[in-house]
Amino acid sequence: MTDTPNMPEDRQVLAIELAFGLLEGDELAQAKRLQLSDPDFAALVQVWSRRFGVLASAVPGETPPARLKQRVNDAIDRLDGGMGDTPHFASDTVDSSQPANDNQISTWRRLALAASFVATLLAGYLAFDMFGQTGNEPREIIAQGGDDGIATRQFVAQLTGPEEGQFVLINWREGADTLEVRAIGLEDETLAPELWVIPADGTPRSLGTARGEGSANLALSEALAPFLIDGATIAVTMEDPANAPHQAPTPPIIAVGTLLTI
Amino acid sequence: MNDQPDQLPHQEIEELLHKVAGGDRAAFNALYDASSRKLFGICMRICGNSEAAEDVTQESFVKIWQRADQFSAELGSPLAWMGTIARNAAIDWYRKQRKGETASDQALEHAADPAALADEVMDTAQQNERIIHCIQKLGMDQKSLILGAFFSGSTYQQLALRIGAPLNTVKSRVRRGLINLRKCLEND
Repeated sequence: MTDTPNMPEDRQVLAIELAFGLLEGDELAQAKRLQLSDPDFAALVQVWSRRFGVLASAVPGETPPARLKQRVNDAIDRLDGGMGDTPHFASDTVDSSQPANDNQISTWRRLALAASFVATLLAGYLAFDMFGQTGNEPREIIAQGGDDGIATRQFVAQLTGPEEGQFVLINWREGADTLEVRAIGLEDETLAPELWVIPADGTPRSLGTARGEGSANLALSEALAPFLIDGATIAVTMEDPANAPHQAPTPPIIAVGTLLTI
Repeated sequence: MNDQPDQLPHQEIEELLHKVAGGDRAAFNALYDASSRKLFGICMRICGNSEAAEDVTQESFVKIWQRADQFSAELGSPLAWMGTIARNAAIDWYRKQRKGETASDQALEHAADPAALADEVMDTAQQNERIIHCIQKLGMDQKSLILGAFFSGSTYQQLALRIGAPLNTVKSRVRRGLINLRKCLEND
């Protein structure tokens, strides 16, 4: 299955294998490439992903502990309200001194939701082109894994700035000690884009500062790596690079997005 | 097994998801009521213990809250979409807990038991989906391998390591099962 499958049967099986999650390494990389370049194949994968989704939901239900509902709500409160605890974001979030309104949604979350849609659309593009690769060149996008043989995942995010042509593209291979960042249109004489990951507790953690224009590799500490999970919120502020990383971001947030696996 | 109904019609769940995408917490709680048994069941099946399943179910609902805007009917039923989130979260959790493993033996054995699927699916609005029926028609060997791989999140390589069989043998057996599955779905 490593060669481009031409036979209908081969394509069908490859689509099933990709949707099922059976592939890794070169096979996975090539299947992903085909998925990105061939709409018919991508449609096949989607059909099978939908079918396998049914399989997951066909598992018999079990009643969870009653406390779980409150736990879930508490986690979401922390997620949505946590930023409100940071004075820098007071104008951008719900009033943390007031009980959360059920229908209230903070501005940064709306931004993240909108950005995640864009990121989904562009995730495939990023995988191949964000660091200058062309779509025609083979590139392994999922590593074979470490010594333990576990396939590692690749995470991407695209954050769109407030002005046209401003982007921050992020690429991280699970387990890597650096984060690849490419910023476009954010050059500034005194400030640089500082990246933040905002985990479930709502407290932003600095990932470091990038160049305002061009690519940079940010060193990633072991303490921060666990926060880089599928669906993690990433934000960007413009900060003085001289004393970075900072303990807390300085407003305004110029871009918010979601980290996604591909 | 089921002591209470936990399923709203798909259309109602879809409407709740749309409201959740707009930040409607009341809709989210209604969605939780309608789906928590299902998601917790998935997490229990993969994690193998209630404490872990509770954590992963919580994580799954937080993801649903964050990603509700990404759901579209083209992705399948809303419950299947949510179930996939729970399955992936459970597999991720297990991989982090036991690097080098994909899921517990218990999870593999339990997951590979197709009998538990059929009754449940008949109670849902997924009766038009043929995949459960077609999986039931596979030979026991292929059925166990495919379900085991699915619920453990195993790749071919991991599956081969797990069952101690050569990689090519595992690939051949699984592929034969997948081809039979496809033929069943197309022809049955």
